[in-house]
Amino acid sequence: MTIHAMPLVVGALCVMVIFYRYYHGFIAAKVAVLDDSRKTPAYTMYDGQNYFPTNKWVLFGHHFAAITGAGPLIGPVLAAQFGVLPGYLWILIGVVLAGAVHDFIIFVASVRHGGKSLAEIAKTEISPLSGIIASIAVLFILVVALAGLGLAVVNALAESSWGVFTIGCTVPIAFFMGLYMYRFRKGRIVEATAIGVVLLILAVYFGKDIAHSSLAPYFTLPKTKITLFILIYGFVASILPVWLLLCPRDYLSSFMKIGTIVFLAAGIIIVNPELKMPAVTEFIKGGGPIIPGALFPFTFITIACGAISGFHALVASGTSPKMVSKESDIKTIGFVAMLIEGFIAILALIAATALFPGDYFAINVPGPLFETLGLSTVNLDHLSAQVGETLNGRTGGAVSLAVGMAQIFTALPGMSHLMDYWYHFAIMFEALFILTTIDTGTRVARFMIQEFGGRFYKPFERVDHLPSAVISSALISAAWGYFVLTGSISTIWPMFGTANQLLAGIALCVGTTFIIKLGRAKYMWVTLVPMAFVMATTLTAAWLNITKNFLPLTRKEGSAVQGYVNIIFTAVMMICAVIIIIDSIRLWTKALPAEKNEAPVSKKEAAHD
Amino acid sequence: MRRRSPKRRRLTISESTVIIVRESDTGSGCVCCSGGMGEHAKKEPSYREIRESAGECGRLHREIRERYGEDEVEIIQIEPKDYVYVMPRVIKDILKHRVPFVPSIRTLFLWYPVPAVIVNGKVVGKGKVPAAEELYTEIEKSAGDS
Repeated sequence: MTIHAMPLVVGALCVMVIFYRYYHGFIAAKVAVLDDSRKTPAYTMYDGQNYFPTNKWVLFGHHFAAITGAGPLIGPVLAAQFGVLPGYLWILIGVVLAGAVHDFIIFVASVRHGGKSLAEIAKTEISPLSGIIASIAVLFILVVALAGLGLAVVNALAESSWGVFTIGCTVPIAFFMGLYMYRFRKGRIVEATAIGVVLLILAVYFGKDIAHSSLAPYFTLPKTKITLFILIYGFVASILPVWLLLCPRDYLSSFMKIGTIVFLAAGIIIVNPELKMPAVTEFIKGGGPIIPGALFPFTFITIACGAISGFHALVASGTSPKMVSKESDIKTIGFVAMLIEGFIAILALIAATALFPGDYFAINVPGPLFETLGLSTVNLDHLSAQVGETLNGRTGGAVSLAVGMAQIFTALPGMSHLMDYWYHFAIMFEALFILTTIDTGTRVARFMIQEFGGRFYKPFERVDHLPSAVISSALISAAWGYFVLTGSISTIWPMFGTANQLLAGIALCVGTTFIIKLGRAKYMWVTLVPMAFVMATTLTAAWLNITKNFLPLTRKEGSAVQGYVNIIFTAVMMICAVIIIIDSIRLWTKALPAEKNEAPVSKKEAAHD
Repeated sequence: MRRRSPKRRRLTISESTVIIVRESDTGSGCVCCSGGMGEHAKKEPSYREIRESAGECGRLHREIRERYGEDEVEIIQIEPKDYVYVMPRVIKDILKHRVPFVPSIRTLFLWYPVPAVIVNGKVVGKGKVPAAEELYTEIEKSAGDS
């Protein structure tokens, strides 16, 4: 049976609209009891600077730009090894029943707690212990996230002079933009961004000439060298003044992000590609070459951000709740931004599954392993010739997504001869996203380490204390760099997925506690069911990762240390999640009987029922 | 049949909009799927200039609100990244307040430095946060002209 993209896209949109209207409408009205007469922190704590009422659509743009990263692009591509259907169904079901609910409830909880962060809410709602554990979990998760995404870039750029040149150019371009906006022509962001975009396009265009010139060997680098360069980049970027690199790169990637995603969506709708990947593959029972393990539980941790992302809880309890002007706005901002992220994940899945399975696996699996699969490539040589790169064994998901995207763009009228440019544009687009993650993430983790270190040695927490900044940046860069250097996508991505989903589970646990304490315990299933599912799948996956993937590594010569480190990381994250669950259940058992004996919270809320 | 020209409706202060375009002080980026340097960023010295500028925007926000009340004048603080929102909004303000051609073009191209303030479709401050009095004059003039 032939599957085309259009029905999947239209079907997804219909499901999202229906769930938004009815299910999320129900949660907003009955569970959270959004009430516009209740003043938000934007009014009660108004300072005009961090707390100020903001137009719904302005805040929507802000929130969406903050939550959408590289995760929904890479995860679904890797999960395509199980076929079109598992990924499609989990993204769709996950986003409407878990992801959007997660973002929404944490957003509401933060608004009702004066715009406090997730760790602070956990501290207030559950216990101080849960607050500390949540902070530790976030730090561990950050390291693994940086490693997972860093690896995708490294594999995409290895032995690709065109790619390395283009991505290499983004660093001086961002520097130039920073100097332009903050020194030469102060504050002229739009001018700087326009120049940046033009320079980026030129970098893609001239990359081809570089690849065919005598300079090519200088840009043709092995994985280890690229890893070292990215590591140095992350380290330096986390210490440099924020205006010099982080801010300009953020602007650049934001504009590219929105433009490319809109273009991809339009491309898929116009081209309506046929999906070559079967509905389900033989790997659903396990033995898959990209992600080890069976469909359950590995699909759920592989897709990660496209269906539900724990990191969103950090935004939903960050700047957004301080700016929301009325509670009913949370419905649009909290739910819809996540639904759109799910939609992006579906587009990424479509782009990857439009490749022939043989070609998809040849790209995403190392050469020797691919030969054992008994699959043969169909179009790969032609695609390689078209994009001007060797595509075999480019694991990590970024390359297969770029090829899929380029294939769709090339099918548009008048684009047929531009495959190589589209491919490198897509690689640059993905890498730009991911490098933004690496510099910001390293910096955030640096701050967290400094804050933690300050408990033992006071000056360490001062962010302007250079030795502390250097030590903590080096520590964090070395931590994620180690995983990139020693790991593979089949070990790191499941760890990243585990980490991200566990954080989501922790946030849903906090959300359930919030609902109970709100006096709406009869609706606690709204977060309890996704929490139970997410925790069950993720803890199972984490356990299987330890026993089936990492323990065997410890017995192999040369990978023993890596195996032990992976086990320790996964175990720490599992322990953090379990402690928070136990701590919450202890609280629920006390709160539930008490709540039964009490009257409804208020007459107004009772009236809503 | 001769058509009667439509009567120009008199706009009031309550239909005024102030758009404060300020530099992002969150350094959001994306950490996988999330942004937020959050509270940590506030302590870092390299954010000082950005935060000072944001503080000025905040001061202006507070002053306008204190003068006209919470609901009288719509105040929108925005990052330049929010172009998708700001462009149609500015066009709407230009049409609503019948801003002359040259200032309209100047506003629409948005080639000004941040922080910038747009009052009823006209750029009032660029590269610095203007004094609140300049804004009051523009707000009251816009309402009076129409």
